[in-house]
Amino acid sequence: MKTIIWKLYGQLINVMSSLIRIGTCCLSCVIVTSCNNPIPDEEITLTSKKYVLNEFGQITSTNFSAEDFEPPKNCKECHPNHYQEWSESMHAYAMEDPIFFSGWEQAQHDYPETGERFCVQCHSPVAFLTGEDLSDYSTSEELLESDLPEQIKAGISCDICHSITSLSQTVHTDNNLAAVADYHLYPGEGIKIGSIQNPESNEHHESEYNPIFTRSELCLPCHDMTIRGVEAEITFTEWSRIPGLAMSGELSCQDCHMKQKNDGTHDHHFTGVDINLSYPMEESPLYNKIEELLQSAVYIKFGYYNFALPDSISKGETLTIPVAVSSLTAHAIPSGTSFSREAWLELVIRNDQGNILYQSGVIEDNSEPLDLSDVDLLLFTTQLMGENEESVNSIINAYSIINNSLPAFSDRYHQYNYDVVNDYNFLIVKVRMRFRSFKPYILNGHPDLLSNLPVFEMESICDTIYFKQ
Amino acid sequence: MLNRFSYLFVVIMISCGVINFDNSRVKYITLHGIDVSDDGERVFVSDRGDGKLHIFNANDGSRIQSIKLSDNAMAAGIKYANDKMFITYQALDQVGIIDLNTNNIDIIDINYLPISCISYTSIMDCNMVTGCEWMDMGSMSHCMNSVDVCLGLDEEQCISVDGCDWTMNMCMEYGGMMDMGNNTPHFIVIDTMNHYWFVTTITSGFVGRYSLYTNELIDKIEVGDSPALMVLNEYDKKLYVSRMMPMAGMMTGAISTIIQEIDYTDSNHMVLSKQFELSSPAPHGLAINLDGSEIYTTSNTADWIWKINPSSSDIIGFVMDEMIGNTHDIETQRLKPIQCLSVGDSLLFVTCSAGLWYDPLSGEQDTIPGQVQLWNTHTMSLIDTLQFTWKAKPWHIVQAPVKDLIYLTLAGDNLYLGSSGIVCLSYENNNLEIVWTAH
Repeated sequence: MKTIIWKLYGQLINVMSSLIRIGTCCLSCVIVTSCNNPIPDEEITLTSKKYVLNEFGQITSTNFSAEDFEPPKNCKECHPNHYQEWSESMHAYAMEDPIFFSGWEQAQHDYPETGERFCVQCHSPVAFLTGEDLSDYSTSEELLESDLPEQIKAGISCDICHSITSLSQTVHTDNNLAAVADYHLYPGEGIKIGSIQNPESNEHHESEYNPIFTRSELCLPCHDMTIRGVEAEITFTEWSRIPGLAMSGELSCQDCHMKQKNDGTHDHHFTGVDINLSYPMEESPLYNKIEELLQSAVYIKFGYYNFALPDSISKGETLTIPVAVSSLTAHAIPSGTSFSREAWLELVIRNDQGNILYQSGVIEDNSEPLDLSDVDLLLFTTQLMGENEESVNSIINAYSIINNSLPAFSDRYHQYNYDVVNDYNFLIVKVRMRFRSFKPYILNGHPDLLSNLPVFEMESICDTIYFKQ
Repeated sequence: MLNRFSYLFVVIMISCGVINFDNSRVKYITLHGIDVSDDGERVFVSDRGDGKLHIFNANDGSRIQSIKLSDNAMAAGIKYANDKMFITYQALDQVGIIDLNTNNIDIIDINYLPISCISYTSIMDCNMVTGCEWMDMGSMSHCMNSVDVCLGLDEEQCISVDGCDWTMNMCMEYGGMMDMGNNTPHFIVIDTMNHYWFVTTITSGFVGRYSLYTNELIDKIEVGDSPALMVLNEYDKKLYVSRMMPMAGMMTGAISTIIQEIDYTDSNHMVLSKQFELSSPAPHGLAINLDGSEIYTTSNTADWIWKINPSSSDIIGFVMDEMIGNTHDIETQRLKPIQCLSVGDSLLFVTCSAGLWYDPLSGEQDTIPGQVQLWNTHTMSLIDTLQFTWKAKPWHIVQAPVKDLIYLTLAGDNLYLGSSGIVCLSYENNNLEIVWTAH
């Protein structure tokens, strides 16, 4: 019954919004006989609460209140597994991460009028939609100990997704960094929306099915962003640029990052490659999931085209090692904040005594930077460039980008050459693809976090080359 | 009084775009399927991005009307017949049939798979179904698939167990990763001579045949391997099916080199009559010549074009990308051909999505212009090429029924609003020229 009432209410809202449009725009059109700026017609088909932003990305009017959104703990009693998974996720950590606070502080310093909203638009959508100014909080501790509503502290909480009524578009950020995220949410009406067809309502909330919950577009507006036209964080676009995926919608974000579990529900860890570095890595609840995801992301092998690793070699010859890296991933590697991440090939040649004869991409510990002067190093990352073509580490100052990532489902062929100067029984060649979610220098201001930085092994191969008798 | 008020209300609504008969500012998101009315006056285009059917004036590209289908439909393949428009709603597992005179939409549910366990709501019903078991979770109790026998198996064990598939270095239930819908209807063709319409379902791997009179399902045939586009030989009652592009073996089905021939002579049962195996992967684009003696297909990943003689099963291939000159088995992914269209005695149009290209040897990214290639099918030589920007991404293509014109959709790039659109091309004297565009 409540569902029917809600639907009728939705229809009423639709009719009212149409009439309001007639009143605000189109009565004048009757007089001037044309209307060159019709309101997008999405608004009349699906209900969502409205908000208006000014040129600085600040709320000037809104139908949202913090109370519209349930504190996540309210969901815990009936959905303990979902709650536990979410609480271990980076979505829950969005307003706790010290690295975020560092970047946010810089944004507010460099862009006093817009920087606070720019980051908050995705890290705390409730604060963004309600217009709650968080500029007084410079650390996660201050924020978490404040009297702010729990929903604001909770980052990307349950209702942010489960009140989505229709799809959003990419965030295109202008030069002044003004927030522009376009959300279509309908919280606070006792209705939770999700991917289960014919869901049953319960004493706590009505339940609605919406097929958009299986689509990649659901991850907009936040997982696709340009700034000054720079393709800064465009994970969704990377996916949509593959014709087969754009046409079919298959291999959606949810397929890999919210896998269906044996009980039919979806994993709400939203596993990606980011990790809470306040834990020692072995204690991190996400570590194994990230490792599993990364190990399914690429395939490497010796050889490509007509080039193959030789079976045997002699002293005085050059050992040519062709390596092919094939992406099995529906977006670039790395993606998202690709400028802070790096994936690379490590190659080590040992002799029959186990001594290292040649190496590339080897680091002694996880916080050691890669040797970028190594001409053989195969590195997948991006680099943001500033206004004067200098390297920058934050998208807020990005005016261009050097993209050396591995695009979705692409191959990269790389060749190493080693001059064999001595005789051995055999050589062992081992190649690993490795990944870390932060370049170490980005964590320079956070030595405690740097010490927990994991390096993942995505894939490894090994072969033996014997010496000719 | 009431009628006068209603009239005023409608005028206001129309003038302001509420009913959307205007031709004012509309940005297309991802234009996908395309077809033309029998009289050649109207061009129909589906917008996958915002769930609309747009109707254009075929003479000048002005937009006549936009019909809202559903934000969530992911409208894809469309086909016109008898003043009706057939549209696949990919995300909803439906086909919408719009009466263009009334704008009424009939919905046909596409459900070719057995009912899933989760639809059983009682313990008794659930436990009576093989493969389902009741999960007792208090208020969250539900019916689910029986324990996943695939999980934990190594690769060798995995491929030997029915229903298991080695994917992403782990053993999974076949199709278990796909969760966007059970069927994913994609493309429609209509046999107006024999009064059938057909639809492919990417995820479940079927071709369905329906009565054009009643829209009732007559028959379905499992073809597997992500079926995509189709062409018809109405005289011989043969249907040819191409494949959706598999991405690194991750999409449903692993084999991706076949074009299938379905014989639908029997009015109740379709039969898989032939398979043509190519030497290139991902044969997606598909066309048939006037007398049905030649089938053309393009490899989306290898940039090769293939000519198939369905009678003799002879297959010959040609490289599309002369600059690269790759062999048929090398997946260059530069031109990314999407659809073919055979016109007249010897012309073949091929749309190429192109876009960003990654050089695997240097690791550098380049931009390849989206383009339409015009081929001579007798000599299999390239006659002309018309290039767009790399953001344009030409996808589907259709021939005008009464003029030497073709129409095609530009899917556009997600980041560049206005890059999606529709183009009318002429091919007089075998020269491709733009007649009009609409963005």
